[in-house]
Amino acid sequence: MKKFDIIIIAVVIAAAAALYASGAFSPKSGGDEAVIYIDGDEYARLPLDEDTSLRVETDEGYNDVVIKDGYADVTEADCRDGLCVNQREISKVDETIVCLPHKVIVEVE
Amino acid sequence: MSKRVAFYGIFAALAMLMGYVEAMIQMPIPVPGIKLGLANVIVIIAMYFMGNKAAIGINVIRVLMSALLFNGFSGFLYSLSGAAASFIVMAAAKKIRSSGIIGVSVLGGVTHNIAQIGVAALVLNTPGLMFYVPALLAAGAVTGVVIGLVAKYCLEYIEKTGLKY
Repeated sequence: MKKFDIIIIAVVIAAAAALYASGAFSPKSGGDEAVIYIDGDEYARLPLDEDTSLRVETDEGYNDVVIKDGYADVTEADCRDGLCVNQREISKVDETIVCLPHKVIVEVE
Repeated sequence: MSKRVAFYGIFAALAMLMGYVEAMIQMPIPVPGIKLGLANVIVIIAMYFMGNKAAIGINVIRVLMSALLFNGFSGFLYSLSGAAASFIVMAAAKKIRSSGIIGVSVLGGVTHNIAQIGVAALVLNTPGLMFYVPALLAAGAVTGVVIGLVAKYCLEYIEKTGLKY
């Protein structure tokens, strides 16, 4: 490995750590509602203090959104990567769960 | 000329195949935009073995054909923006005389991740996506090293066989 390579790797890791530590890219206060968007359009608003579940149907497939104990989570979906299901539950303002294949976003406001 | 056509075909097919293989690999970290970037192995080899112009052609064919064959056009904007941004950065980094393949690959991986999440944040109008930036930087560094090493060993092997473009 060349010196250039090591410098690049070190700079990238340091930038990631610094950004993470600075909190500039971290969520802040708790939110009230989970808002579901499909392709940028608002689809539903679910208050976080009320346990519910909702199946979001799009042209591409479905995502099951569950609200429980003040957290919103995607518990099931038929998208090809399943990343939305693996993402952690959310509760703070601007936190998101994203399903890129279905263009579905759950965002706390 | 016909030799060049054959090289283009082989590399484009390999790049598409890598994308397909990658779709079957589950990434352990649930962050949108993170992937191994196997197709980038081929793009980097093409860059060093055949030059930038050929690598651009192969890259464009890969993105277009993968969209047509596997992914559909829902992810087309993301893959195109990721591929274009990372290619520009890699080509620039490659020009630096002291640069190595692994550094180029890391920069490519990181740029790819950031461009994709940036475009997604714009297209979907969701600034909250930027929370993933630190994770995507770190992931890009890790996958970039892996991809760079693979490309490096492949290139050494190609050189040993005496194959010429």
